[in-house]
Amino acid sequence: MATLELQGLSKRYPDGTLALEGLDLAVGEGELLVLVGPSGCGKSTLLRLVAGLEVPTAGRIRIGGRDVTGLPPQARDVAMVFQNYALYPHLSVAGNLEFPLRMRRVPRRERRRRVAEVAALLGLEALLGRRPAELSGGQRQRVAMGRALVRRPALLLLDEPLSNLDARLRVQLRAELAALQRRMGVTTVHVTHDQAEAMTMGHRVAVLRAGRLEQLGPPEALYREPATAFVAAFLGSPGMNLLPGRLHREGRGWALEVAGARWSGEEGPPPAPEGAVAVGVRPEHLHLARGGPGSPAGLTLTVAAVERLGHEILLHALAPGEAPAQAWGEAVRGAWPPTVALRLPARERTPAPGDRVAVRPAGPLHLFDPLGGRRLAMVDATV
Amino acid sequence: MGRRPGASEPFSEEARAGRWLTAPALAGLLLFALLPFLGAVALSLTDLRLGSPRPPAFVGLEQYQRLLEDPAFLAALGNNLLFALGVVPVQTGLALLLALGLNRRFPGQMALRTLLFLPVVFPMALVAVMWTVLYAPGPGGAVNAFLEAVTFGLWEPRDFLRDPAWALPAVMLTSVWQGVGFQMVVLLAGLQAIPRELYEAARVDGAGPWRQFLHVTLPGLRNPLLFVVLVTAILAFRVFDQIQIMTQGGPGQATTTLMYEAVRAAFVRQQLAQGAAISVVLFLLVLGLTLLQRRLLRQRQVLA
Repeated sequence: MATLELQGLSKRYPDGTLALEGLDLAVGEGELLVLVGPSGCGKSTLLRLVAGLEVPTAGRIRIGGRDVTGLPPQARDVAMVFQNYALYPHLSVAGNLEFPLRMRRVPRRERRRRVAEVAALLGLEALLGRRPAELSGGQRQRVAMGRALVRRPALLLLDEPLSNLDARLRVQLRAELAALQRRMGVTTVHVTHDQAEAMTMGHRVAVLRAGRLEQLGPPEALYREPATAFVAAFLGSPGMNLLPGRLHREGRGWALEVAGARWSGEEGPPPAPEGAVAVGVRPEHLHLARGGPGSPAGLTLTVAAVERLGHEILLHALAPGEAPAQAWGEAVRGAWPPTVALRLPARERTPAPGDRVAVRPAGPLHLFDPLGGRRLAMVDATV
Repeated sequence: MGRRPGASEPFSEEARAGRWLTAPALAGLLLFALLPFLGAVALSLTDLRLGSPRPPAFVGLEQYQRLLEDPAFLAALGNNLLFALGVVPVQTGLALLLALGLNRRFPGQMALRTLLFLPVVFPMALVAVMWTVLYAPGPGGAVNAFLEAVTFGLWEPRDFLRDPAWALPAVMLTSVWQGVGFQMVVLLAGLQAIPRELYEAARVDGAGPWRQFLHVTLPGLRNPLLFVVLVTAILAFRVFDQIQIMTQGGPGQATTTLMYEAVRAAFVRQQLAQGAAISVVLFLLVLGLTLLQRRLLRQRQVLA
């Protein structure tokens, strides 16, 4: 158990790709940090750098205060669970669990004890004699976890450990894994592209985009107050809606216009510089307006698809107006969902695809810089 | 495991097509392998000699009994065993080293791979003639000249192929040179089939290069290695071309082999029955090796 500190960590591959750029990050003792981002964001590179499987182009890596930047993996006291588990196919489950101990010349008696202990912890006792090929996906995942934990490493690295499992098992193991980490208290970096894993498992979540840290914080904070349009759209299922808007002064206050609808602020200066903004609103903060299409505080949208999930209904409407591709910067455009999603209670009478509906926000509206994607302000549209 | 169609339903469409498709090959095997072999077995139970006016008589296992007392046969068998014991490990070890070396990226890697594989494409007759020239006696021979150069003149030139102590090793070296490329390619393919993550897992688990080789590479190469070892062993027992061209079994009986003895018995001494008996013995040896390989490979399948 130890802390992990990354300082100005950069990685440029020989082909010129910049996978990580000047990343600073600190993981506390016993913390479970989830690194999340779309594929190619550099999260796996980061993990491989920490493991020592790759050498950084610049920056330092410290584990438990010790600089390990130049050390090979075997000298770092880290353990890793690979996406495909990388179990040794010719060794039995017991052989796999024992392997890291053998490599570190732990005496046989101690090895036996530790293997039995970790097998009991993960419910693998009945499988000790089997080979990896004779195990199910979930069992292999557990063996891989066991092999990583048996050595009681200073740092546990998880590289998309659940992504090869089917959805049901993934949800189950997600909870098991988080509980196991809490029980062992081992400092953990968990890499995933699944925002649900990030939200449910992480003590803190680091969102990565294009080799840079987009935002770092507790999952609820990231969800509630995303620092950028990218984080806003990435977290949540579906993510935050982004709509092209315009902010300007009006009388002694200000007004926000989004696709024909407008909200006026009270007295005082506008919450952000006047001009174009990207307006973010969570699907659960949009409601169908009673008045029907045409009411001034509502957006008029065309329903594209309706998903009934049993406990709720997801309504996808076509985004109003033109795609804001030209006006928005790349950072925002990349995050821009082409539809507007609404999360509705299941009992609500639902429109059918093709219907025109009036949609009214009830909750915070986030205003993002349409070029850089930074969040400028949050306004309450409940009024 | 689902049942494969055709494997369990002998009259399915697929099975019928399969039988048609394999028929030519099976007919060929029957005609050119099984029938001659049965003929050889039958012949080996007689005393047939070429050009003898006597009609052949059935003598039972007498030919085999005679073989066991025949010093020429025993010498050939001994040479064959020596040949196999020398060539198989040296060639496999060398092939493994080459494969490991060529599995890394470096400039000229493809060129080197091609060069090392080239001898495999050469006919053995050509290789044998070439090496006979290289082994030429006296300081003019390339091998002698090379050894003299690297030992700063300490090496005394000798006539490799006519020296009882050197003839067999010289032929073995030629065979290794010719065959190592094939083994290397098989092992290289095996190496490339080992997932990179296994090495990474081993590194994180604390294994250095040697223990990665021991615990990831070698187990991963088990099947290719088995294949390579047994195929080489079989080829080693069937060795004939290079003997015929380079030494004719000499000097004395220093380089005779089973195949060479069989050919000599049948076509030089005209003892057709004895030649047949030798080839039956050779066949049984090769069959034994093949069965061993199948057994070991199947065992692996059950495990994997």
